[in-house]
Amino acid sequence: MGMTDVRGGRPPADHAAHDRLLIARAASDDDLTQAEQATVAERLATCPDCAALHADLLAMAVALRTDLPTPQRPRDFRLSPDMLVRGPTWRERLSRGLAGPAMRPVAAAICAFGLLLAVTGTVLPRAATTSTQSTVGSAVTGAGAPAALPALPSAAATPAATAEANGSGKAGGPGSSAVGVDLGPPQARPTVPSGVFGRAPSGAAGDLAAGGAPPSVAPGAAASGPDPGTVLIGAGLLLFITGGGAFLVLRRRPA
Amino acid sequence: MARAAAGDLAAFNEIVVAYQDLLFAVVVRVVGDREAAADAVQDAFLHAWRNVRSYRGGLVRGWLARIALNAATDVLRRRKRRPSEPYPEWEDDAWQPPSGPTTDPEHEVTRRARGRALAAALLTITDEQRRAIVLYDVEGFDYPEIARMTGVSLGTVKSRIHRGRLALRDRLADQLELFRD
Repeated sequence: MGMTDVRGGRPPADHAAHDRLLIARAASDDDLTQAEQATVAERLATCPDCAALHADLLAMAVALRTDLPTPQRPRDFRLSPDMLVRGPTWRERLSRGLAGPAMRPVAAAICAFGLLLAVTGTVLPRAATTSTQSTVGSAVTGAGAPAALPALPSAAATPAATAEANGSGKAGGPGSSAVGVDLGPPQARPTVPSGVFGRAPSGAAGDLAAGGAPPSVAPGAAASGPDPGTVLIGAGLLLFITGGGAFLVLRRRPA
Repeated sequence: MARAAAGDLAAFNEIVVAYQDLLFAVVVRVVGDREAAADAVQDAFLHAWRNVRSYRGGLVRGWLARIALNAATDVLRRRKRRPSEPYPEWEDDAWQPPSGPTTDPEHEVTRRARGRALAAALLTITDEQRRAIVLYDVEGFDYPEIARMTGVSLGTVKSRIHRGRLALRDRLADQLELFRD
């Protein structure tokens, strides 16, 4: 760096390897350990660049306090009463807008539409399942349906199973069932009835009631993508709850 | 403060009068734009009035400075989102300090040049370093006050000041003779 030792006899110090931050700390009277103080003293004595850095930092600190132009404020910042009147916040505006009486029919319509969707979701997939099971049930009918009879009471413990058990009862006795729950042994069941209420993707309730066998996908049903009936029911219930909640809130808080 | 907290606007305005110069100086040095700084200071006083009951004692100066710094931070944040916003004109006469009749003209010229160089260099360091240096070196807040105002540790405050000074010195590398006379 072309530096010369301020004391003359020593070799020039390698300023690039020196800790500038330590010099900066020393320039602002930061708490230094005794070892750090000794290092700083040694650097200031032997390294002209360190000494210049230290002096510049001290001079800059003084200049920052004394020489920086004082900005003149452009106006008086005293508050007047009219400045304190503020308009409604976006939340208040939104709340007022949504609380208007005109929104109640909208909420009711959303609620009704949601209910309609949910009901549709319960009906449509059931018809599809029924037709699927008709085929499967026919194939299974002669293969040992009576062996599954004891499973019926436990299956009726869930709403889904109850509904399906009722369906099979209407169709006739065991062995002649063409519609409804699969009456074969659990390990031979080709389908999981896609029940209506309480139906979960894993078919947990119905399956456990019927013997705990793992669920299988109904023949003909798409293995990928959500079941349309489930989607309809979910969306419908969501809209029903949202619309109903909004309707109740709007009744309590008129505009 | 007690009268202001009770809803006395006149009492609060006495506080405004006492601290408006300080707050504007802090904010304009952090933000670097007089108009934006003025709006930020006005917002800060409005915010302070609306939240005067949240004042929990301590130095009013520090409480107000913290609110003003938050307003300044909002300005900087908006500027980062819209970087086309112009930077201030440092030759603005409103920035020139008054010179006394007994001042040596040559010394005064150097002093002004130093001030302008420092003010310009301040705008080139990071926002955090500038905030720390303005509060510590320029306005004279101490380390703990700055730590409380900016919500960082004491060590971070010190580090920002030291690194900020080093950065300033690097920015002023070709004008260091102004500081060595």
